[in-house]
Amino acid sequence: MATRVIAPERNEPSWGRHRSGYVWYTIRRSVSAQFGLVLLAAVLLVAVAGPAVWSADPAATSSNTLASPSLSLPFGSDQYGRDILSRVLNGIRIDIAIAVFVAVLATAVGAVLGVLAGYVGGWVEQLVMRLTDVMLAFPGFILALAIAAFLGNDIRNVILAIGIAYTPVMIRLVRGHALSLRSASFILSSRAVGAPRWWIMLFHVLPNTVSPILVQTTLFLAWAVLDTAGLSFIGVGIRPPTPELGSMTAEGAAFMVSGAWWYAVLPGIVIMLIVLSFNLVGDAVRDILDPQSH
Amino acid sequence: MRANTPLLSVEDLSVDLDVFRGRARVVDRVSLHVAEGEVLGLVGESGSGKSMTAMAVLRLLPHAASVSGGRILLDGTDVLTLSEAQMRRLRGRQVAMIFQTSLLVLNPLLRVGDQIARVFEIHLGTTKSVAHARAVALLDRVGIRNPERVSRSYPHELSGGMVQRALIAVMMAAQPRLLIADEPTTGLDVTTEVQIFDLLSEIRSETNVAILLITHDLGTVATNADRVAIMHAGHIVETGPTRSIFKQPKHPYTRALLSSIPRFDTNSPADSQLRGQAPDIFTLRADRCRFVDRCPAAMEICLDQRPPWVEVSEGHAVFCHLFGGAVASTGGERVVD
Repeated sequence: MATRVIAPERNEPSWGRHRSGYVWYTIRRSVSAQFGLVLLAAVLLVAVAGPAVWSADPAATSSNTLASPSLSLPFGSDQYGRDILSRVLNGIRIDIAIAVFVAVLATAVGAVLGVLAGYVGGWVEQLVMRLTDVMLAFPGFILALAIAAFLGNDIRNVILAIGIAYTPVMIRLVRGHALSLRSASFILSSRAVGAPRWWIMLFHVLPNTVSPILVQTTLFLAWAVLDTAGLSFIGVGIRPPTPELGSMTAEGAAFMVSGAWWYAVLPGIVIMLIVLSFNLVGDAVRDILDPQSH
Repeated sequence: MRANTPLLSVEDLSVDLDVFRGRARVVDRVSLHVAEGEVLGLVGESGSGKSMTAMAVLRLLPHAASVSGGRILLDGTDVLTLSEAQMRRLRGRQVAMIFQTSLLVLNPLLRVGDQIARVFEIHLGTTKSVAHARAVALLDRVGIRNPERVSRSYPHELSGGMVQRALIAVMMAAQPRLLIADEPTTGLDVTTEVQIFDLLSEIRSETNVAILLITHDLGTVATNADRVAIMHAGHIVETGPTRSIFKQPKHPYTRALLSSIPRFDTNSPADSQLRGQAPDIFTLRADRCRFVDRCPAAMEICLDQRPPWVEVSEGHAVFCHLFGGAVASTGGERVVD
């Protein structure tokens, strides 16, 4: 097999106006980035247009229970005779929406607290970081599980639970970068002309931590899809009859032994594809923003 | 009255550094003054306390350092007594500081013009568009060609000299009356260095800004400073008008520094008298000359008595036992009232 040899001068990534060229350069070089982008585009397209194109009612029951995949029921039907394809299409929407809310929540709260802890220091830092330490002592999923169990399960609480569980990860990351910026000479210069502290945090510290923040946010998206499905699978997440991919795999698992493989496996594959697309795009984002990392 | 009151007057300033190795007095009872429109050159080796003195004036000392004594009068106000909020209003408008050249003296993610404009916004509450126009005018003023384009550039697109010019524009934006320049040309080539100093002296004659020039380069001081203060291991050891210091250096340290400059117009070899290294500030005792271990003229008295300040000619004083005199035993420069 012929190898494509691409050996251009390694462009040093630069800030600002030359960025767009570097984005295309990175994507052109990376097959996984291309695959990830195509997959993500497909997933988003399905999430947006899917329920309109395949308009069967995801909640409508029928006597045709546990039907195997066919032309009229491409993903088969479940124990109540509901159309699994229609439920999966709606489930994709729900899972992605939850993931986006989780990522935004954890990013916003984590970035603000991380900048405060790293730049202001003192008791603010002590308070924030000790709390963070306590939370990070638990695996993220276990923490989310505990919070979700405590709050009770509906969509809002699942978002809160997972978002809170991810926040300390962002705090740690941002605080580390803010700490190293504290002694940067442009920050010293800014202090020397009398810039207030909030000004320095907003215009100097935060913009200079955007790259690692964005990379972590794309990771949050992938984690959140998996953890939402996971929480639902073990019964503390989104409850049936809401069409959620994790709870569908959980319900379907009971019918695996009786041969209805499609009920659990097809939603499971969809979860995997969503997570894969987020992860691959996340890797590409990291390569673009932080070229030294690979 | 006003003419005699210096703009900046540092009196018996001491700064302590508290680190893992212990506590050290890195600035020990230093006094100096800068008049309006004057350039004072503060010269010393690395670690002699020059930058610490400057940072104390701006109240931007690193966490491990703290002022343990003295007063810093800026236009009659003791900055050490101000609240952080009051101090913030002072920075930029009364006193600003240019740091050593590096690519990171400006925020890499903000356009150069915006960084200057922000100073107008902070201090004068100027609107964005007006601030931008004034930033462009200021870039033009500091000798940047095509200022409109440069104002929309990012720092990495500029050369080292341009970055330093832009930084000067940032610092002069709110028209401070005192500019502290800490090794403003380190890392620049000699031609650029000359241009930067020309620019600073132009700005001085236009705005009457006083400049505290911190450097280890005697040549820079000789051509740019009105007066010089020589610093060694946390003490100011000699101070006076530039001509007087260079023509008649008194302190053994100053002499050693001057004679270590190689000369090519005579056949005599450069006889560097400067032995040893700067003393370890963590082991210094208070009541002795801090130069004694390196001094070619050390005496018994130097080991256990703090040297006196002796005025050898008008405005030229030296901190040394060699010149006798039971003059006041504290302080560096005395303000002539």
